Amino acid sequence: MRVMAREPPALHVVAPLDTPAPESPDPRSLDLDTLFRRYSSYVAAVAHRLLGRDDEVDDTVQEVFLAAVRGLRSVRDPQAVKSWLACIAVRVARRKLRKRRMRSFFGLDDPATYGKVTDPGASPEQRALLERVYRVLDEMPTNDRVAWALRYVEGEPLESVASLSGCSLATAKRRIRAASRTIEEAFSDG
Amino acid sequence: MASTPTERMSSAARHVAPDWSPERARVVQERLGRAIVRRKRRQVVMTAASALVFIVVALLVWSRGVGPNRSPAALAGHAVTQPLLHFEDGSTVTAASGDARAEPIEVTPELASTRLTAGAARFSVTPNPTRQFRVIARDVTVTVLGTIFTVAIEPNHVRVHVERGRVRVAWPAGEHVLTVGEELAVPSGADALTAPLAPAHDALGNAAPPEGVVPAAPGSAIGSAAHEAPPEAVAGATPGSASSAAPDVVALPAERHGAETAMVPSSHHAVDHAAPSPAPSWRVLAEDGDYTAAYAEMSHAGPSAVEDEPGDLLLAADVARLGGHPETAVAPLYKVITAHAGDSRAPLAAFTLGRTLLDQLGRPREAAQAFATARRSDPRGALAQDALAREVESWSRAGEATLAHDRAVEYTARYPKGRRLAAVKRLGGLE
Repeated sequence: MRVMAREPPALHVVAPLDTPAPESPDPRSLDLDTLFRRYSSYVAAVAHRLLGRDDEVDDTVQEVFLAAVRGLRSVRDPQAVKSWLACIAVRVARRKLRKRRMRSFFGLDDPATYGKVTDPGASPEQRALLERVYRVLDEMPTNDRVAWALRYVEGEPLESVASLSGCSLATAKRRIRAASRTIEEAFSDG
Repeated sequence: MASTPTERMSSAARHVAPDWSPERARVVQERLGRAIVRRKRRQVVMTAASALVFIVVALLVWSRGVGPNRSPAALAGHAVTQPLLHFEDGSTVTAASGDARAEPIEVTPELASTRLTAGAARFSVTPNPTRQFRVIARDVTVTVLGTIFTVAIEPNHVRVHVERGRVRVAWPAGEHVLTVGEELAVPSGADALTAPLAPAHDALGNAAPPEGVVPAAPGSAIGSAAHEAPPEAVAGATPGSASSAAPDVVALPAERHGAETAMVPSSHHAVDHAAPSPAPSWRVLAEDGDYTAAYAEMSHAGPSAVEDEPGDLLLAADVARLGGHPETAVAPLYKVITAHAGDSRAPLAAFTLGRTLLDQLGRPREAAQAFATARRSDPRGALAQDALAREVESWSRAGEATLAHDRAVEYTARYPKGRRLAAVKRLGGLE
């Protein structure tokens, strides 16, 4: 585990994305500080990949943990805490995406900018590809977008995509297929 | 090299990551803490508001369920609420027992006089300083000063109970003023009349406890306050005194006024009734409610028994009607209408004649004319509305649909919110 110690001490441990989560504790023994310290970066990553915008990540993380405070006691399986938080993150992100589409429909949303969607390690071609993909994702139905992003951006297996999306495996596959077709068509056009 | 955008995404996706630093995480967590505090405050406020609303609703419900006039005596008086009489000023007479019978005697701007002939009735009188409201039950007269009270005729007593306001109760030997919650049982009836009577002055002119005390009978129509009376209230009570003593009275405080002492009749009474003679005339028997005996006595005495005076004629008609000889009531009533048309009691005589003809003699045409006379005699009187309604009924029963219809139209125009509107519309064919 990489330790990034800074002030203040309340939040100084952030697990990198590729670092496996620590041993899952008993959820009943978790307080909010512990929960946030262990999983905030994971939740932020999921939100970022689904939304594509960095400026909405903070609000999403806050909403996820606010919901988690209420429902933490209902989690029985210690192994399920991480996927449970991911499930909440997907739900919150989907709500934000729908709100964004609504605002865009009425001309209230700023034009999408995906310049910060990649980290500095991405090549110019990869950066251009991702920006274009996210613009195409903006045009498709929210459920299709979420399923495709979970599958190809987050890298989740199909069963996990279905579970996180709250739908059947067949529905998840259909949504991913529809989104893929839209992206292929968009790229073939130009 | 990947050929499709989806396949190319697989390699590019690992570069999609937020710039999630510990500092940024700290800021988000602080915001999260503030949001949690705000939510808790909202919950407290909502809980308090909900509790407040619940308390307010509970208080409203409670205040509706608990109010004045919930005493057992009052509820007993409300047990039977069949309306008997309505007056235009809002005063009402409702039955407090199944056999209650009341009828108006005189209704003028100065006086509304009603006779309770049987049972118990509750009188709700609208305060009116310019008009007296008087209730006569046998030989007991109750004069009202704006109040709600109950009068019950019992075998040996006339019982008066006051719910609100004050009344003056007068009987042949004296009078007394009753206030809220007080109850008075005046010996009256056949036993009381035949009992040896002490001089009125002896019974009422001193402040000593009366010789005969008449407690309120348990289960009577207007309550059983005798059980609640303090010892001094029943001091000197002797069983059966009602038939062996002067018409002494005691005011028994009702439950709400249980601490009050028994009331001794006032020394400044005004006796306005003559003591009954040992051999009662038909009038005394009539006042007593024994109309059968009164009719027999009146018939025995011959035509000279009834004086040509509206009061005596009306009383004779009452004796005939209530004594089972309604056909004999027509003549004295007709005489009041014709020979004493200017008397204030003429409209009442006409109305009573209409009722007798319609209800007892089955002569609806003549009844309709009598009701019309009652209405014309006093177009703004208390009986006018009822007279018009009964006229509609009379014409309807006589088979005169056109006349019934015309009178019904007149009724709806004059009294668009009249209490008999539904019946008038039905009988007049307006529905």
